[in-house]
Amino acid sequence: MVDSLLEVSDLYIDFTVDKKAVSAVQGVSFTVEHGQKVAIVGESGSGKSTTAHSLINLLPGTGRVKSGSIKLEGNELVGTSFKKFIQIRGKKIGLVPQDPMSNLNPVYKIGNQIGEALSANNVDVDHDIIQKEIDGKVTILHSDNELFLGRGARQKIEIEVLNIWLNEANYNVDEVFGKIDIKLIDHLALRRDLVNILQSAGVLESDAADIHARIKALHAKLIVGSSIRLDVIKTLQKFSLSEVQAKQMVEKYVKGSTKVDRIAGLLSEAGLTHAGQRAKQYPHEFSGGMRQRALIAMALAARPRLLIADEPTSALDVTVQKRILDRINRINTTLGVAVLFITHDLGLAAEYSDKLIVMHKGRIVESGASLEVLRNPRHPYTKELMKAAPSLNASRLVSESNSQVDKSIQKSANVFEFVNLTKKFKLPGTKKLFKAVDNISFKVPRGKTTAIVGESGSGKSTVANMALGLLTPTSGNILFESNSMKDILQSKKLAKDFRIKVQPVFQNPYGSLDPLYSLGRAVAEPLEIHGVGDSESRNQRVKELLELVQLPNDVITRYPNELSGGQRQRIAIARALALNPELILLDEAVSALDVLVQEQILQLLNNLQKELGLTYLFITHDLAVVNIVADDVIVMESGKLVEQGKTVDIFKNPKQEYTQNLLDAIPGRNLI
Amino acid sequence: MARYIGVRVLQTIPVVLGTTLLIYGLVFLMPGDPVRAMFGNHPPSEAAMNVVRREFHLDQPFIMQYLYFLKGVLTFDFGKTFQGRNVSDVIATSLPITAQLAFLSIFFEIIIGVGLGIVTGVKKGRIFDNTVLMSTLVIISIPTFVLGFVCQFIFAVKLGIVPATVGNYIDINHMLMPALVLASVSISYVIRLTRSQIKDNLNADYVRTARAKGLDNRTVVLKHILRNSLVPVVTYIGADLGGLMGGAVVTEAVFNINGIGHQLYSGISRGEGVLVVSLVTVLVLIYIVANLLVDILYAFLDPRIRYGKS
Amino acid sequence: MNSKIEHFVADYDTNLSAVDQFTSDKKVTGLIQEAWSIIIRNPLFWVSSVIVLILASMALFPGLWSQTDPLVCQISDSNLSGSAIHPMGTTLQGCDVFARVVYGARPSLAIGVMTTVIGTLIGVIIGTIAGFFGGILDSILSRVIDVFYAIPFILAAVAVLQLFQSSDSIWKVIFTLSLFAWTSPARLMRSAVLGVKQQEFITASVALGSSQFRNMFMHILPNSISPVIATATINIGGYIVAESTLSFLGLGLGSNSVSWGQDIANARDNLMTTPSMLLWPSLFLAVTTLSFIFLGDSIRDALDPKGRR
Repeated sequence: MVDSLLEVSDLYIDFTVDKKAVSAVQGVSFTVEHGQKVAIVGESGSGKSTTAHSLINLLPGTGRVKSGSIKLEGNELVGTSFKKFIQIRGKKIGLVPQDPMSNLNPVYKIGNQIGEALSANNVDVDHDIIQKEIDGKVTILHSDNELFLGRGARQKIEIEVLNIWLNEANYNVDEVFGKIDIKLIDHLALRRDLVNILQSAGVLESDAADIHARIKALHAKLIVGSSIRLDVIKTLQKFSLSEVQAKQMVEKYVKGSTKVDRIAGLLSEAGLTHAGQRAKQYPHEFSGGMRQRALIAMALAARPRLLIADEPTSALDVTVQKRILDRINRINTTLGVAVLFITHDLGLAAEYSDKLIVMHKGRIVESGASLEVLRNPRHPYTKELMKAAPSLNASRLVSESNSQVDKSIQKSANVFEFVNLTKKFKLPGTKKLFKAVDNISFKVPRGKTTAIVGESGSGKSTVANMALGLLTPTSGNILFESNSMKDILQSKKLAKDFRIKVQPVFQNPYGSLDPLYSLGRAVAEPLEIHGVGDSESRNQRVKELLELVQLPNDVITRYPNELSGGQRQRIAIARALALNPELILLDEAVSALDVLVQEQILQLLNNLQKELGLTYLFITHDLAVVNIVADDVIVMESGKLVEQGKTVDIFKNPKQEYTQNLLDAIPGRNLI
Repeated sequence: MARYIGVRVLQTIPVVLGTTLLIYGLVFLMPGDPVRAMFGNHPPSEAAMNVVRREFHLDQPFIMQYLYFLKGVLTFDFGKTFQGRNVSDVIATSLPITAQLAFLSIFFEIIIGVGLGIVTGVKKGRIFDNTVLMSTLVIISIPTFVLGFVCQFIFAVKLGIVPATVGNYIDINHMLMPALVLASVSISYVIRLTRSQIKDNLNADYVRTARAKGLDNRTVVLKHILRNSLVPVVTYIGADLGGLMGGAVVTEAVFNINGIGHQLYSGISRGEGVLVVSLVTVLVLIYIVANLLVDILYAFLDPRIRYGKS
Repeated sequence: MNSKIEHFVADYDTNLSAVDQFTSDKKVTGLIQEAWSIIIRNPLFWVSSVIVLILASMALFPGLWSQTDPLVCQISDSNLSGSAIHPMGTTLQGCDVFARVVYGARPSLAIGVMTTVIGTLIGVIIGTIAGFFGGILDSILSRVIDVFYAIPFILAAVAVLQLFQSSDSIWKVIFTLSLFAWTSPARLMRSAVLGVKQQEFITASVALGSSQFRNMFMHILPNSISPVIATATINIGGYIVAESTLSFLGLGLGSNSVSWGQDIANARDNLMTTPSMLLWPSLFLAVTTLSFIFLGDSIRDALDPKGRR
């Protein structure tokens, strides 16, 4: 029987904390076959990343493999030398790390950093040299199709294609070529006078113009350094050459490429356009998605047999995430590289893998074929994850409205009305204005949840800050309970009333509480600011609030650093509730949380809405979450309002292409 | 890049104006009559002194006097010492000596400071590391002149391996010990800074990525960790030129070197305010220019600044 | 794929009912408590604290340590080596070295502590204003900081002390050092305030309706002060060294005063014959400085979240 590509058995990994061993991975066993896509799914602290890093001996800090075995193509890795791992890294196992922003060295050009991966693994030499030194000294590349188009090769191919076309049109080829200055050939396609040259050689004017146009198009398609043999063959076929002709020509001419060509080739393989120029840029000139592509190119540089993708897209927008994952998928198919995905997203894991491994607290709780596990989860933990994953759930959390709310007081139907709202910012260093929010209008109905959804740069946070009165709009108006925001901020009384009625909960559970304030004091702060009650009644109120968010009274004397992220968000919610607000603005309030905790918080928010008749304005990038919490949804893209309506309608029947793209990008949505 | 340099040069102008104004303000505030002080114990008639006052613009308001002073600075004309030498001549003869001392010190800072910083940064928690760290703190807490005395006493007087003072012998043999003493505190800081930078960078994400590519340890340390760690170290060494200028006053006094620091020291002891202020001005200006150069160098080291919008 | 993938399910031994429950069995560990628990485990903190306390008692009550008057010197006792009456020997003028060292603690510590307090206070105020209000005010203050920062410390002190040549008061040194000591705390404070200002709890507090000043004093200031405090402690040692250097240059407290710096400067002339005159005040000065460095370091280690696991 052939060895599996990777065989991990009974792996135990320890970390040393305060001189005591803490077990992070306990008895994990799994295999990855050649070309297989395997996903390890788990929440933070499940040991999924630790397992992955142990495969290339890059455990952080005090981490150490205690026992067990990791076999790569039948060779044991546990206990092998440091040097052996250097040979394995890059060449056998490539790593695509999690955070694209911090994983590229800021001081070197992208191309340089990819080139390093080539040199480190002895694949940086020109292909001509590789072919000459086939005695085993130089590593031979895995595939013949790996050869990239060089500048000279393109020129020769173009001449030969020209030759064929002229032949087909029954012109005297020798005569035509006799009149063409061969030195001009490289720029041939771009030269106006090609037509003249052809004409003077007896080619009909209409034919000459046609040949000129075709050569020009071919020239544009054959990108030096980015087109591999396969691409060149396909391109030639598109230009009406037979498969045999194309193959012969490519085998004859596309023999080698320089290191620079190869770097560009790798970058375009990872899905980067204009790869040649991009390679000369620095990381800070790249967006997050582009950096992640560069990292993928780097990981694939030496053609590893296994690619570890450690949460490769969790820092990226959904649509970018989809493109990157699709690219990894394509690489898996075309190059036959096995992929080990590490992710917290069950839907993503199921959609992009053949085999799924669910980890919980350092153990594997369930594993199997992805669709099988997804459709037929057996372990209670997997079931919980399934239930909690917003992308795998189709409907809004149930909330019966306003059971205990006093309806006798007449209130406006909408808490907020945004009318033609526009916000312009000055771009730093220039005098240009940039429209962060561009003429948008919508309403936030009372007692309901309205979600604003958009990717980074959509302007959703700017809208949130204007709604909170932290930014003033450039033009347009915000009405809060029929009062204009301008008037509210100018009148002390109205402003105080507004600050009481509108409360925020922010994204980062680690930054939204003052680390020096005890939790009791943090919850009581709004009461203190607005001078509500005496210290005894405040204490009483804090206890009530903690009960509302289901935290024990003990936390009053504790500090934020003692709580988990979810618990901190509960405190933030308790604080927001302190003054009996009308509306809570939730700015990415659940985005940083693990899926089970996220579900709890969403459930809590839903119950509170039911009990207290609250209105929520929910700002998020996560369409899946919107689906289960929001009644109405506003979709934003680069400052503009793309679409708005009832959540149910928009999810069933998106009118705009952008909304459709967003929906398609939710991983795993169509699997159930 | 050009834009960045332009902005930095423009930002330097108010600092130059501010520092010279500050220093000149101090002279203006100085008690006593400078003209009277110039003639020592035999003051001429009041009329004669008024002539001198007019010549030195001392009869004009403060701001005019400052502008004349600034003009003097820009044209390298600082007036005369009590002995009647041109202050600019004093600077021209003494500055190169101090420059040699300072460059030798910076050389030691780079070789010893960065070198030991790398070694201690890469090897963690060893006895060597702790010893070096402890030594740096001890050196920081001893005043430079005490260290100078002790070195003189041990290496020159007791062991006799180096000359105790420099005097007029400006060569490597004589300058070695003074330069090391002058550099000692800075070396300590450079070691600590390099070490902590390297330790921070050792755990950086991009270093792990570099390892994951299959790079060997040597390349990772030299190419990735060191390059990034050195950016703040270079800034420090540049900024430290000011510290060295100050330290030169002490070191030159201890080792009897006829540099600008020594002139400053004797100027202080003779109470020659104008000379002292002129020398301080020159040193400050050198320091500001050096910092400007370091900022530009910084841009070469860190592409984010080079291409950043101002 | 080549073979069918087996569907594996582990035993149901994991307790799932208690997702994200708060457990109150641990003891309270807020930032301050945590910092305290870190600092009391640091032996360097204890050693340096004890030394600083001893030195403080010398500065405040020198009589407790030495009954000899440091200024009453018997020329007949010139240059004695250590004995029961003069534990560290005597100077060329016959003064008791131990007494001079004990009485020298006061000016040195006073200068170190007062300069740090004044400099840090000014620095914190200016840095906070610049960082908190931003805009033109920040630009102006930053340029002013640049100007003061651009003059090397010793050179600056040399220039300013020209003004006070007639005075022997300790305050002229404190004033001079403070005049330039405020710049680095100001820079530190400014960047700390800028950092804290961007944190979400500040935005949250504004959105709750708290005033600018409440925000500044209740949230921003307490959260940005800790690096300044740690650095200030370390700097006390630096100013003690600076004072001695100024004394050496003849710009310190004057040759008749009793201070470590002055004694070290005086010891130079007799270095060959009585190195002990250099040794004792230098040793005291170095140990003092070192103690403040260690004290500051241990405070920094305890307060710096990066240093924690």
